[in-house]
Amino acid sequence: MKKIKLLWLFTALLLLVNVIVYLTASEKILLYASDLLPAVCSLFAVYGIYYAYKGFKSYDFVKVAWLFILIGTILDFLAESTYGILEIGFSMDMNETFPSLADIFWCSSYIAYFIGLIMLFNGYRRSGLPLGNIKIQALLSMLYVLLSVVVVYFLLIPIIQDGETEFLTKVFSLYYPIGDIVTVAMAIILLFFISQFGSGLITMPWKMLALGFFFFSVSDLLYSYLSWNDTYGSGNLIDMGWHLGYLLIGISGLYQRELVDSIKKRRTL
Amino acid sequence: MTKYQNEYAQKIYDIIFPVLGELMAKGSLRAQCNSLGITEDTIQAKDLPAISEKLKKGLIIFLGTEGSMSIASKILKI
Repeated sequence: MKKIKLLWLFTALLLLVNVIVYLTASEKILLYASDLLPAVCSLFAVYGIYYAYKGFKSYDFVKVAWLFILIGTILDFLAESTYGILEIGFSMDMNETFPSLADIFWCSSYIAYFIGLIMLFNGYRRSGLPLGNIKIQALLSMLYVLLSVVVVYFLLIPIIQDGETEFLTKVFSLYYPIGDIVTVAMAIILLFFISQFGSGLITMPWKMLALGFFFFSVSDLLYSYLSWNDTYGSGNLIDMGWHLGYLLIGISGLYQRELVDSIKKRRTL
Repeated sequence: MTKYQNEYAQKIYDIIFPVLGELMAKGSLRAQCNSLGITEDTIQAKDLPAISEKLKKGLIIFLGTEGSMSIASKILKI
């Protein structure tokens, strides 16, 4: 539990530093901060999820699901690092260099996350545990359809209809929001399932994981919109959603390990 | 804390409550009993292997095979 408390403290401190730097720093410092902070946060996500993965002894589908989430976090870390190196180390204009190697890593991470989350989702469905109130399911579905319509109308249609953009740029520009909509759906489903069971330790890994993906994907959707309209600049406050997303994903891993270890301790008592 | 009239239901609940918390312990027990065509009030000794197997299956997703087996074996020993 000490590790989790420390990571919560780190999360709070990092977000505070994030706000202060983003509101007060010069353009150059802002550039460094907006490239370094995501790399640091994604590294914490790798650490947290790796810690959870190592806690499972049997190589069952749950361990494999967490392995895919781990692969996703590693790919995100590689993407964030590559992006920073290209922008700071090679002084490349990343708005012009799209898609870059970093985008390959980011796009691959969606696939790994999707596989991991769908495994958890199917595992829950097969578990025989309650699937929840049908009315709430219908309400959430409607809200989700509404979000999807907004994304399609304000983002996907303008990208598809743009005649000046190259084909490859279009493919990548469409890939991100579509991946985000899918990830938000998975996050909402996991959150819905687990919210039926109160606030015990067993609910924390999935809650943090779902919230992490939710913050991450919403920031990503806002980024896609701003970026497409040329109104995004380094040090935008929406970056905090990414940072918080990574940190919550890392924290979910620590809670998962804490849960598995608590069962082991109970057995040895 | 929930109290059951049926002694087996109470013992199963006492095993899973510290791990799952009240809501999830109650929900899991109810869901698994329903899937066996019984209720928490009608659990008998002969139902324990099936309930422990069902609960094990249900908990794997959160605890992994090892963790869920540990809970299931405690239920079998009731």
